[in-house]
Amino acid sequence: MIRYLAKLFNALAKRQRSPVKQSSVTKLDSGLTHNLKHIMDELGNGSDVVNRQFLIGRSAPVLAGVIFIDGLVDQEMINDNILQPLLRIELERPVDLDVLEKSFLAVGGLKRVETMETLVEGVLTGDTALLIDGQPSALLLSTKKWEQRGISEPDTEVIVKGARDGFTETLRTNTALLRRRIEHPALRFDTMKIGKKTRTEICVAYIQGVAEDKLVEEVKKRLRRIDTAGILSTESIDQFIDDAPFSPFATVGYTERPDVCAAKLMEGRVAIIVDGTPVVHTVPFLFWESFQSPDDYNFRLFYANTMRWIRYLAFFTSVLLPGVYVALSSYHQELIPTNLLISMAAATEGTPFPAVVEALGMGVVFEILREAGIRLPRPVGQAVSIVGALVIGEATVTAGLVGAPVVIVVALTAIASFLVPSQVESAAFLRVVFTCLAGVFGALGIINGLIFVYIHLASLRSFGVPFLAPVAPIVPADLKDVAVRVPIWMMWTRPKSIDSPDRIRQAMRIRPEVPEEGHDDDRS
Amino acid sequence: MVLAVLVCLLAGGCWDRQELDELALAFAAGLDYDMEQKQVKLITQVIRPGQMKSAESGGGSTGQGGQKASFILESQGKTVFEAVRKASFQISRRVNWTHNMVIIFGKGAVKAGVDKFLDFFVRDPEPRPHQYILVADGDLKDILNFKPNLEKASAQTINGMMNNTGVTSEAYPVTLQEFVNDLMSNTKSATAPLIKVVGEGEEQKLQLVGTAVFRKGKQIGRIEPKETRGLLWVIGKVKSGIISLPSSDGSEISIEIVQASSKIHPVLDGDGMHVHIHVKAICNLGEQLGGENAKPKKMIEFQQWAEKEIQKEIVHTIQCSRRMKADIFGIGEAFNRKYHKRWRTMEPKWEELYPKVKFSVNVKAKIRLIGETLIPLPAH
Repeated sequence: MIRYLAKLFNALAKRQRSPVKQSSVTKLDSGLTHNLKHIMDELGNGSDVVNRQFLIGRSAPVLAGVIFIDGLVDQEMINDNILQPLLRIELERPVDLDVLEKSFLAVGGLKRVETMETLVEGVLTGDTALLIDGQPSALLLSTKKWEQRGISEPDTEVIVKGARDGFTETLRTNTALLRRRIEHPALRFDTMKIGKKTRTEICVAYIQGVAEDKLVEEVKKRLRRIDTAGILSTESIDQFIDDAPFSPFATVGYTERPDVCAAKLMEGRVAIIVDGTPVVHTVPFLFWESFQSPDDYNFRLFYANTMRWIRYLAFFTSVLLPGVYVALSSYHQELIPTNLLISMAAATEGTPFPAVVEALGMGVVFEILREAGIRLPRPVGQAVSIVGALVIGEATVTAGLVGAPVVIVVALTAIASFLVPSQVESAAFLRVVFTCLAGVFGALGIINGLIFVYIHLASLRSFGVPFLAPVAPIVPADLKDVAVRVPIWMMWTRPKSIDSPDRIRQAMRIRPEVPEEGHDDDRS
Repeated sequence: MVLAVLVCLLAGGCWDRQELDELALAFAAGLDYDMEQKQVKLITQVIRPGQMKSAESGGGSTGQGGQKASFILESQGKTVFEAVRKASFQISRRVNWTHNMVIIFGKGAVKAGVDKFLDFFVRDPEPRPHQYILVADGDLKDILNFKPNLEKASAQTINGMMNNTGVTSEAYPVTLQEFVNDLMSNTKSATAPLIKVVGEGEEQKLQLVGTAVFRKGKQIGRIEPKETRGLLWVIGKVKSGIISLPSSDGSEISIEIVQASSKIHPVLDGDGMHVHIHVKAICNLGEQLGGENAKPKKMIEFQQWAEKEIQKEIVHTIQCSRRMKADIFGIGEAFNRKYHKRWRTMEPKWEELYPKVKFSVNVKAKIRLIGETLIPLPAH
């Protein structure tokens, strides 16, 4: 069977590799009507394609035409800056594109094109094509403007202190947000188009000299490999460039916050911005980044570190608590304090299912409620949570279907998992695995499962960087932001594990000091 | 591959799984021995978790459905383990020993020798080594059936009393582990607190009435609560307690013991065996009924009285132990540590040698605080 599958796969791959038919290049004709007709045919005479013909010049009028797609362009700009000047030309000599370009068109972005394909592509991205009769070339005028969402705070990454802006669906807005944060010429946005049909614009952002060249090359190489009909979200890009596609842990990070993205770029990482999604991916992504929040750097040191530890605790809780509960209650009763055991035994008295079934069942119920709460319209969502919390939580316990401890455990687990948003997916999967292991093997299963997960984590790499770095392998210089976040003025190097060519982030002696009386600042 | 993993999972697991509602938690074990039938009698106190939790069942009175929070199972067998399994056999669930708090020996057991009953509790993985060992002074079943006022099961009461002995230091709680260690020693006499139900009807209460002294597993005698404190002074286990003395003008004073420590120095020389016991006690003045104001000079006087009183308690206990020829202090082990070679010749006849040991007791008491008043209250 395996051989058969391999054969099938090879055949498919061969068909894939067969040379793709190259699209032919059509030169523009000098006749305007012919050109316009050709373009309209190419665009399928779509109802949103606007084709306007008019005469330029008074003494020797020339027929001209503009083509644009309604909804992608700034109508006002076309009227004021293109049509009006052109219609008011009172030149005696015949006009041509050069004259128009130099003297009349009040448009910033302007491009001379010779081929039909570039012209059509330009029109599809929101440019306006200007053709005049008798010339085998055309002008592409940048008039892009479409309805877009304003910049708002991302719902998924709300912070208490700090910037409130978030990425939007428009690539240009996103690059602008980054430029606003990093006003240095070395910030690079290298764009490419992926997707034969969608032609999605994808932008690789990095700071030259800070991000390693090899890393940037690797990101581009992986992106270029994607040969697909369509990219509709960053998530699908993520799956194409992931290091370990079958791992529960993501090796590509994401953020919706420009400040987070800028911080990652400053550390020497590379960001991938995809047009059409507000989620920006950053690579390499290391495990410990999941536990860092922008708030960590905005709050006072001790509070920030306490919160980080709470996050570590919450992650362990969300992965292990149901498993530990099952193991303790069905195998290791001797480990439970006597009074707690009495409470637990009293609460589970007469419940029909073993603890492992209860834990798994309530876990599934929670996931159902969560999913329903997300999908349903907001007003209905509240009704769902009431039904979930009251009816299911309360009634199952009162009816004696499950014990109260299980409900508490599942509720705590569910809440805890949201403290570490980027590991919600892995935690949800591992939780089920550990609960099953605990149900079958008790604590032995949990311990062996943990060992297995650690081995797996240690074997992962994200764009060449070990996933557990800087803890395994240990990089002492980078431990400044793992277990504890040291004061910002002490973080004077960039992460060594990411291997930035420009290691020094800031001056070493910038610790705030009270100036000695009668002396000037001794650093000067 | 998947198949192999599945087989491992399904064939290997679950064999010792026990859900909480399949357990009968034992809280206390009573062990007795029937000499005539040569049968071990086991009384197991098992709790009902539902009744333990419900508020109405307080005081061991009837809870929901008229059930008590705990009940007892009686079983017999040639060995303890046999009796243990027979106890499970009487009910719908398996008795789980992991949370057993106390083991109480009855009259028959201490006569027959308790060592032969403890192997199960040490060998089996379920019972904990930190459960308390006690000896029933009176009927075993009465103690296990006792209806406590504060807790739900008598085992919890006894466990609490054991943890709370420090208030007077007139009982010496021993755990299973300590007790077994003492039993295994060739020279030291194991001790265990004696417990008894006193009073009638509603007035019933549990009381610790002294300490049972064992030799080779059999009880050879007992010492009273005050003498037990003497024992604790010597081994440095006095935690707190009250020494009440008559003041110079006849009114009473109470001295609270705050901290105590001791050192045992064995000396072997031409004269024979000497043991110097140094006891240090830090005290507070707890109560003074009349008399002079608490001046430093007065305090030194009080200290001397306290020292004398402590010395009296210790000497009394030493006399008791001499009478029983029971080395309850572990003096033999002290000799062993210091005179290891000579000890080997002493060890076999230690029982005879022990009463000949000469003790010298040296007590140092210090009154640290005198409380929040200087003037004794019945001021006249």
